[in-house]
Amino acid sequence: MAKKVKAVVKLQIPAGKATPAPPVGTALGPHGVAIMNFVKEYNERTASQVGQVIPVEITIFEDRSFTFITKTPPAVDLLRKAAGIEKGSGVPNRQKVGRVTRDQIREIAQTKLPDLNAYDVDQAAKIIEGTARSMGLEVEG
Amino acid sequence: MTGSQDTWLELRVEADREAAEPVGELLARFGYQHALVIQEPILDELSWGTYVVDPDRPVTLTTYVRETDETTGALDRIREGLWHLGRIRYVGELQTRRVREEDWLNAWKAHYRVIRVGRRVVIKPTWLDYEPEREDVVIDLDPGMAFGTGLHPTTRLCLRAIEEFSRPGMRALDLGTGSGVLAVALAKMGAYRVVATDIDPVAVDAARAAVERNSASALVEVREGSIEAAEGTYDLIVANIIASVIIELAPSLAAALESGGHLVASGILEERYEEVALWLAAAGLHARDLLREDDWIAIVVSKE
Repeated sequence: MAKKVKAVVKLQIPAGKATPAPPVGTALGPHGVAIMNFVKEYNERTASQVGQVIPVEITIFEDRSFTFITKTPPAVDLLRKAAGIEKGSGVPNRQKVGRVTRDQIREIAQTKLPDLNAYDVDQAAKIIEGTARSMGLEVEG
Repeated sequence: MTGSQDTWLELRVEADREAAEPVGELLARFGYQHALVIQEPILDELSWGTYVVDPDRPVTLTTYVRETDETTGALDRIREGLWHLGRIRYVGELQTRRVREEDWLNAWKAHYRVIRVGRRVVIKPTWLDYEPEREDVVIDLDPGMAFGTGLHPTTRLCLRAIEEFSRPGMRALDLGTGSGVLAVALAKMGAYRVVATDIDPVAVDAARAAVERNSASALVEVREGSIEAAEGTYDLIVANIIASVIIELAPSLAAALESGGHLVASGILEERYEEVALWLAAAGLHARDLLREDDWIAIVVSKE
C-alpha cells in the first residue's frame, strides 16, 4: 500500500559529495529522516556523475522513510559550461558575461527536456534562452 | 563577525518561478558546497505520493554559509545581485537566520524506534527501553552522525549475513564500521576477536562509544583507517561500503581472509552487482550467497 507523504524536499548538491552538513542536514533532519542514510544513498547513486551538480527530489513519508529521484543538472550549470564562464552576471540586464550559440541552447534544451514543463525541444529552448539572458549571457545565431 | 564551527547562517529568498534559477545560482555561488534547497509552493495537500505545485506563488530558495569575517561582504554582494535580478522579475528580500547543529542534527532521533533485523538481532536506540525476548541479541545504539542505524537495507543485509555466517570463536573484521553496529553484532554472535576500522574519525568515535555501551571492549578494537589498519587474517569480514571501494579493495580483502573464511560485501546497488561479483571472483573468491533488499545487494564469497 502506498504510504502517506509528509514532505517533498528538493536539493541541488554536488554528485557523490553529499555530507550531513547543511543543506542536507537542515533540510532533512527536521522531517525525521536519518540523514546519513540519505547521504550514503545519494553518493552511491550519483557516483558516476561526480563533478556535476545533480538536483534531487526527496519524498519523505509519514513513517520517516524516504525515496528520491535525481534530475538533470541545473540549466545554469550547463549554460556556464557551454559559455566557458565561472559564474553568471550579478547585473544581467547591464553587464553581459559571455555568449552561447543557438545550437548550444538546443543541446541543453534536449538534455533538460525530461525535467522541463515543455512539450518539445523548441519550447524547452525558449525556457533555456530565458535563463541564459537572466544570467547575463548573450544568445547568438 | 565570527561564529563557532557548529553555527551556520541560513540565507533564504523568495522569488518568482521564472527568476528561481538565476536567484538560486546567485545563492549557491556563495553557499556551502554551492548547494541549494528549493521549496516549491504546494497547492494540494500532500497525500499518497501526489502533489500539485502552485504556479502563482513564489519559490523559496535557501543556502547555508559558515559565519566568518567574510560573511558580511558576501551578504552585500548577494543583496546587490538580488536587487538587479529583481528588476526583471519578483525577487523578495534576503532573509538570514542563525542555525545551530543541534537544532537539526538529532531531530531524526525522535522517530527512531526499536528495530528487529533477521531472526535474533534487535537494535535498541540508547534512549528507549526494550524488554528482550529469549535469544534476542540486543544492540544498544546511538549512531549520531555515523552510518549504520539499522534502518538502511545495506546494514540489514549485513546483519542477516552475520547471523548466517558467524561461528563462535572466530576472528572478524568490520571494514567501514560507521556506527559500530556490525562490530557489536559480530562480538555478540560469538566472535572472540573483532577489529573494526573506519577512515572517518566521526565514525571511529561513534563506534568506540557503541562498543563501550554494549560492554564489548574486551572483544572489539576500533581503529582509524582502511584495510591496512586491519593487519592479520580473519574468518569473517563484513564490508558495508560502496561498490567502487569494494572493487578497489578486492585483492586486499581476499588477502585478509583466512582459508575457508567468508566475506560479506554490501552497499552494492543492483546495477553494479555483476561488476563487483566479477572483481571478487578475479581476486580468487567464490560466490556463496546473495542477499537482497529493495535494489541493494550483499554478496557473500569465500576463500577456498
